[in-house]
Amino acid sequence: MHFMFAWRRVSYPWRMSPNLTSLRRTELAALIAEGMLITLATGQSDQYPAVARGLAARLDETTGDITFLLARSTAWSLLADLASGAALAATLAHPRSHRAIQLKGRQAQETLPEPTDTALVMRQSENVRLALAASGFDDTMLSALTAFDPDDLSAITLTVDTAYDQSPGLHAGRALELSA
Amino acid sequence: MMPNALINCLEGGIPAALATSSSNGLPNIAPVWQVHRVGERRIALAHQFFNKTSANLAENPRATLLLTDPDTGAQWALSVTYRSSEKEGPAFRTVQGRLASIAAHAGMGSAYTLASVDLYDIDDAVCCTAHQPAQQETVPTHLQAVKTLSSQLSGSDDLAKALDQTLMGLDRHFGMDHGLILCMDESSQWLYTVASHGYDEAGAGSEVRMAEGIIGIAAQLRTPIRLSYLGAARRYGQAMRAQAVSSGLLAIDTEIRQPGLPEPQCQMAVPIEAGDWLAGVLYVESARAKRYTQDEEDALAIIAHQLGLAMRLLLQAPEVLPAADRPQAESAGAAQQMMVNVRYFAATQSVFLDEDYLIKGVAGAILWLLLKDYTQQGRVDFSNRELRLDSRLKLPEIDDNLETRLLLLERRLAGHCDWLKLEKVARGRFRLHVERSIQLIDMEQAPLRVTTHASVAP
Repeated sequence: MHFMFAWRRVSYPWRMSPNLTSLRRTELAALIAEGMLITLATGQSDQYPAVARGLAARLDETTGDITFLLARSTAWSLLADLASGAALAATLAHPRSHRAIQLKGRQAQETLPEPTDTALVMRQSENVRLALAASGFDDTMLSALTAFDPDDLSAITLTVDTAYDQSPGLHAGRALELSA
Repeated sequence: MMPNALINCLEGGIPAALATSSSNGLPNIAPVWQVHRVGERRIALAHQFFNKTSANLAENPRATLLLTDPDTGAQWALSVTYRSSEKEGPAFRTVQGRLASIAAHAGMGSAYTLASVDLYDIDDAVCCTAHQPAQQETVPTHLQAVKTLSSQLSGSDDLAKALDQTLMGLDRHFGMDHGLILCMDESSQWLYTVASHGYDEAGAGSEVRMAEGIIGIAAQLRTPIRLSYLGAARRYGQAMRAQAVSSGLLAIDTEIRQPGLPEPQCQMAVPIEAGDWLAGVLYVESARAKRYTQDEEDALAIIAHQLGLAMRLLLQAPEVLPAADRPQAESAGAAQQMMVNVRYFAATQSVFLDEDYLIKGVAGAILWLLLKDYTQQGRVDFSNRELRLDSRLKLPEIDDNLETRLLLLERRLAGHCDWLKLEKVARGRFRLHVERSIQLIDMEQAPLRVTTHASVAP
């Protein structure tokens, strides 16, 4: 009647130090490729923030800029905020390990998706779907969650000013150094 | 009124995201694992690692919460306004219980503390999914099943029957096919299993420490706890633990042990209460994620209250037979077989049959006392009343849990021994059956004596 819950240590891709955690761009790109749950928000000084879910992301390892892909029809308010110069925050959470980071910047704008972005979204969405399926979610829900219309695809490119470790625990919110 | 689809989003699974903004327009997003519905237009969020969120809310109390429906994948954006924080009360206990249970699955329950819950008013709710969500199934209510089970409990005249009826009724009427009932130890430090349903082994006597795992936490906080997506919750708990271990805040300790399925995906634990008295915990689990709904949690809470009242009444019920007409043990006869050494360790009140551990604690002390009277006086019939008054047992005057201990002893014997058993012969009276020769050995004293008595034939 007794069972022992087997705890398995999950690998932690970025290096820890007492005051600062650092993450290389190549490591971040690899993490993103595994498929992340992405949330985007724009700020308003005295209003409700606009939010939207991202479908996928890609990192420019030369500049460090990150591009998020999302369904335009779910993000009208957020895109309107960006058009008026609002700042952007984005969280990327790994669905298996719950490791997460938050990126923020004041330079973010809507851009045109690249021809390869549809395939990118499909690939990362499938990884997210598989990870969540392992947690007990059924196919119907996961198909709806990861479904997208290629004609509805939009892109937002963010120049990252600051980054934070947002994994669960006491160190959530600690500054994260993104290095080349 | 909060739409059903929105209520479904509060079941968890995929963490919600709370977006806030500073007065200079810089946004922040915080993951939120637990969103608890407080009223039609109010929710409570666990205040965890929310330093930036708190600072932003002080400047701009308006926030947006992004929720995901775990059944349809639909996304909801809630416009909310922060109102206050609470460090106690029902909402705090519910959220604390859920989070502590999740943390306990990664072996860090004792290290987990919740600072407060933050209360938010819901100003607006918009479904912002790009794809039409699947139609919600009509969820049946369980009032009829509660009524049936409640009626059975109110008519029960026996503690063992009441416990078994409850677990079998939950299976029959609710499809909850794996369940346990655990009673509080008189020290209030442990819960021990007295009834089970749906498992290969009965598990009578298996123990859970107070505040350990979902069962111990439900008992400690005296609040129902339901975990719907344990696969996801375990990973979240592991991530919390990994952080704590890597920071040196938590040693890698013994993993949690609790009775039940090896890989449950959904669990509910509800305290069994009658007024201020905590009798124990009613626990069900399933290998299927999100098997139990809020409606079923409410139904289980009602049944647990009914069971608590029934237990209170049954434990106080008077005996029905006079103390006369005591059959004595038979002399040595045909039933004798190989002699068994019954060893007793007084420090832990543990009883071993030859080399096999049988039981400990008060139930162990009771068995030792019964066997001593059996070997020294040939007695086989006993009453609860005389045990309660027997100074050798030193039971507390209030809430001695004697009946549940006897039930535990009866079931433990039934599951582990085919020659020694307790039989209830009337309310408050029971008979000891011994079908082997036994030698009692008090491990802190010299061996008592040898007896060759066999089972009684009244």
